[in-house]
Amino acid sequence: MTPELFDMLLESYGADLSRWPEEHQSAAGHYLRSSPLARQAVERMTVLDQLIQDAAPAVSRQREDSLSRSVMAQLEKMPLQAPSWITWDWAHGGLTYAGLFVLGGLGNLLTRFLTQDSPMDFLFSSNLLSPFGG
Amino acid sequence: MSSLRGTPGKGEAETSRDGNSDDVLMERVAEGNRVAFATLMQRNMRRALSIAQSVLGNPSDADEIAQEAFMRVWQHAQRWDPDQAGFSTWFYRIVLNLCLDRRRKPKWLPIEEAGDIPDTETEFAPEIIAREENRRAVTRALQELSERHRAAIALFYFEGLSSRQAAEVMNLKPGAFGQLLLRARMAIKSELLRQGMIEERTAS
Repeated sequence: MTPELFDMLLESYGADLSRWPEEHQSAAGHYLRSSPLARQAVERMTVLDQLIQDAAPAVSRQREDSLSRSVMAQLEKMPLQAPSWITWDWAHGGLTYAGLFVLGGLGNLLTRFLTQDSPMDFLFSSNLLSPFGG
Repeated sequence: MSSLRGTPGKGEAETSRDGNSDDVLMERVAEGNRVAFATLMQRNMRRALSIAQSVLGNPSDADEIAQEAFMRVWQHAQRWDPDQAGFSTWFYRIVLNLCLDRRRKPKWLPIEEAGDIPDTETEFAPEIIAREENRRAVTRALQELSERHRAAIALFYFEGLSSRQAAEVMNLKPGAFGQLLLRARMAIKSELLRQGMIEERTAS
């Protein structure tokens, strides 16, 4: 480990070597044992680490409990989770099928309009038979 | 402030006395089990609040984010895939994404409103006051950082996640997370130097 890499890791991850990326910990430990300058740098860095850690937001138990109660109250107002076949969007599904039905009807009308010179039987049966000499 | 909670099991999935890990509870939540959900929330509410407040700098916004995060856990529990990420990683991502999705400028409370210095007449008073001043100085330094930098500091230092797990939460490669953390720390350090909270020798 070079002094430069050690310094960069120290600046990034702080003075606690056990929190450094695993792949660097062993080499950093060897370097630390062999270098008084590195030990001094680590010692100094603990000051900054402590200052940062002391700035963690304080969260009271009271606040946690109050919010938890609020979430549970919101949950009570929600419907129970239902099986997926119930929660399937029937409204949109129904609209899709209705749309397809209407399109089919329009297609039928269009076909009748385009073939009005040779009108088709409503049930198509004679149209299917006549071209074959039926 | 009454009964402030510590940070037990920092960065790790907790396991209760009955041996249920957060992941096991989450499987039950996906089946619609409200008792499991309540337990999971009890264990993780502090984390949600701490992360949200660190990133947004405002307790009332943090409260909203924490509630929203748990509602999403309940509503989207079936989407959680334990093979993709453990519960804590998944949950941190939800909280963080909610924070980062708040497009509006974070409403940091003026530092003067962040709480009074306790009225102290004990023999430790100077120590408490000094500690509080330090905390405010770092909070000021944090205010100058971007949300992503604050998130990196919160995950690694406040929540005690490993660099690998914090990188995973932020969808970064470990090296990129290290760079983010480095820039955040350097910015804090230079702000503390400017405020005279640390000496040049400490910073070098």
